[in-house]
Amino acid sequence: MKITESTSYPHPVLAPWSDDIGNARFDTRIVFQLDEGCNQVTLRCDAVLDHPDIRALIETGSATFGCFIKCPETGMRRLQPLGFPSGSQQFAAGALLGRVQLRPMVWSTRRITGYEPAGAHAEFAGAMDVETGQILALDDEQVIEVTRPPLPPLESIFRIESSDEVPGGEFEIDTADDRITILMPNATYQLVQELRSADESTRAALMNALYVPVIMEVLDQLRDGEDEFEQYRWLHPFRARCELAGVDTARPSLLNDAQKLLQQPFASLGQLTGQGDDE
Amino acid sequence: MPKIQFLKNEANKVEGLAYAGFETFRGSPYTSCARETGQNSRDAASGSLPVQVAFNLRKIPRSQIPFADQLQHSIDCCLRAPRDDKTGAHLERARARIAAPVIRVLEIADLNTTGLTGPVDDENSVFAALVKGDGVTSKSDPTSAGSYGIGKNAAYAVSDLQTVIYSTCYREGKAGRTRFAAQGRLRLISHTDGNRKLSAEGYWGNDGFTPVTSVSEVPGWVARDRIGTSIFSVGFREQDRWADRMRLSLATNFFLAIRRNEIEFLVDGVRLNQSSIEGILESPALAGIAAASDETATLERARRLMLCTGSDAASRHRISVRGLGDFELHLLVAENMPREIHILRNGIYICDNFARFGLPMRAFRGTKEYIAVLEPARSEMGKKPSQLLKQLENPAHDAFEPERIVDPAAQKTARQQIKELVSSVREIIRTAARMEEIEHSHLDELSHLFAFGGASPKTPDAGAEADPDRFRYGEARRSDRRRASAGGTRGQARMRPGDEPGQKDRKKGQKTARSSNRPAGVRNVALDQVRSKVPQGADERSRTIFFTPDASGTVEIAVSASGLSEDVELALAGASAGTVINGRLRAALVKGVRTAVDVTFSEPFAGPIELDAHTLPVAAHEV
Repeated sequence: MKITESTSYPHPVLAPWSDDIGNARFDTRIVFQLDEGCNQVTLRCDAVLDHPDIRALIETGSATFGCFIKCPETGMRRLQPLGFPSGSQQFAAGALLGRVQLRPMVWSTRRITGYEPAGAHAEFAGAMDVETGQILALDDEQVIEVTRPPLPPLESIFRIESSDEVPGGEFEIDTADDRITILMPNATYQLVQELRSADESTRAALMNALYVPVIMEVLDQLRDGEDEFEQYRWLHPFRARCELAGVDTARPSLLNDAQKLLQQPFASLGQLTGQGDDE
Repeated sequence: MPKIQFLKNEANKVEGLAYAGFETFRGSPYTSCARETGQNSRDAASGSLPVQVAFNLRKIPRSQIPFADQLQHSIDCCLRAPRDDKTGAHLERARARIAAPVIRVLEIADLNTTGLTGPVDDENSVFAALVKGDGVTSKSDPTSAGSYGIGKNAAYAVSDLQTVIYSTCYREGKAGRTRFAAQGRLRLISHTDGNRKLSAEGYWGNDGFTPVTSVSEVPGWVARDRIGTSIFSVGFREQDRWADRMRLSLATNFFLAIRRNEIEFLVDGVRLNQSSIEGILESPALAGIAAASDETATLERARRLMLCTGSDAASRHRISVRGLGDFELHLLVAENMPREIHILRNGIYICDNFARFGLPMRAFRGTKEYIAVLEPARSEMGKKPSQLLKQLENPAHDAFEPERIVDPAAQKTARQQIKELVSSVREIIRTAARMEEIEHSHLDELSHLFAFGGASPKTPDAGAEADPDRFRYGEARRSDRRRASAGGTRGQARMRPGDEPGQKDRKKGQKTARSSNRPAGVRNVALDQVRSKVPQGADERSRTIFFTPDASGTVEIAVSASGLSEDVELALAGASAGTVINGRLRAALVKGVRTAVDVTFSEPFAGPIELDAHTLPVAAHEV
């Protein structure tokens, strides 16, 4: 739905910039609550509508009040009905991110015959029929910015997690979250934790045994397009790292690119040999 | 001539005031009356429009109560031998009510329902079930939310005269003529009138306890001509905040059916419908009513369930129970929720447990906080589950009781099915709301390569205050309003008629190129206060457009259909002024002069339009 202040409707529309309907006001106030823990937004919209005819249409169910919501970052475009004169809507976590455009409006939910709102401009002389879904009142577009919460710098986009659902000796990755999660059975998890907490040489082995295939898998998933991951916070740092390393995510060479991204981890395996010599 | 007739009491049966059917609702008469009558109307829904139920207090002159004298006489007969002080006091109050010059009557009228379908003399009809049936169900839909057996008595509980009149219009057969029927029913105490021993139960209607079927035989306030039912509680007990209490009951019981636009209420002038229900539930006024009625917990529960069923953050789960059908579980995992599961049916609140099945279904351990709504699926697969819940529901609407199914085999099956249902609910909740039991760890050793915030760490702002609250609140800011005039400077992509959507980008490029390569001297002309209308009596090809140009000269105006995401140019076939060239209007305009032009589109279009105007190059003027 494209709505601009220059759009001309074949019936009077109450709007702050228009003289279609005089001596009446449609004014809204939108407030939001952002749960920064999970990027969940709740919108609340309060409307002041002092046009008796349009108000009566809402009260009798012939029209409804709501908001057209556009969020380019997540792709959400929705005409959201809201309670009148005040209503709220809780959105799913991550559904609204970045700049969110909100256009409060009233639209017909049934065919309205003989529509002739009080105060209509003389050029609209006479009653007219308005079909279902036509805009009757508009307010100015409003914007909220759903910013991601700042995180401590250098916080990793990867995490490991113990899961009983993964067969023994295997691991899986879950990219449908803000962090890329490597799932493994508890025994493996404990082993990995031990290796991580040991010295540099064991960490080097881990880098090759675990992280290389994980990066390969992520690259493989991104090969078919990044759109489905846009909503997850790991994508942008990962993409930035790829650009820095000269990796084309649309045409990856999985093994080579994983090595590039991890700064040639096989080179560090020599530490294992060195350690053995020392002993 | 309609009149009151009491049943004969040939057995000398002693009937007092404490009739079980009424006593059920004595404790909360307004709340019960609103819920029970609303439920009956909800069950009689007809057509696609929401059921409308209006509760209005009417003050009827005694002279317009056709049975006032007769009823007063009967009460006098009852008073001659009162059984106890309480009965005496009640009868005295009733006598005062009927002797008063004005009688209060609560009218509960519904629309968009079937009415009480007949034939009225058929004992299996809905009319008979409501007016004369005791403990029978004759609702046409077996999944309906209640039965007329018990709930109908709630209307008597708000009448000091224990007198209710039913008035209905219904359609005879599927496309038959509209029929009217009205009948009253009252209950006093068993009494003696002269030498006649009479029962407590009486009827107002025609001879032989038959209903009145002619509108002309009832007073105007009883008559109705639209399909639906009116219930009149005669001698309404008007206590303080009666309407508030009814609104609270309707809002907290029917919130989901209201929001789904299945029903709406008008209580003493206040409308509870799809657009208003949320505001009403959240209003301080209703909170005050709830507090005064000790119903704050009920109101808060309704608010939470409203959030649960409407939130995008809630998950929806289909639960299939073998041999029964489907349920739907709405689950919202969120902080400060009470870990409760509530059961609704037909959008009406029932209760929060299957305790009588040994399944209290409360506070599953080891989960995050949540709120859930369980209801039969709103599809064909939900009909049997709805029927089962209806069978199990007690009249007080606060428990499901397996003993209500008498057949042992059927009861056993029901127990198994409910057990399976609750087991599935538990599993879903435990999975979706599980605590962070599994261990996890961030892989910080990769953070120098893959970190939030990029590879160059920023130094945290030492002066910044840490926000201990995870919630941030704000107000939307208004965007800059673009000039409310049409002029073609907005840079929007416009598609020519016949263009394919895929051509958008190319067109956009062309537009940009064309704009930047316009001959010298060509400029956009802003058109202020653009207005358009389809002339009365004309078809959708015709449109009158009004505008005020900000420049004089010969101007080319393109008319576009304002589309979903971009405009599509509409080719003009004709115009009342100027000329149409290549589907566009060329006209000589005068700056600041209001201009009206009737144009004809080559294709019908009744939607919003945009105008794009610009001057012509010198060469074009010469053409």
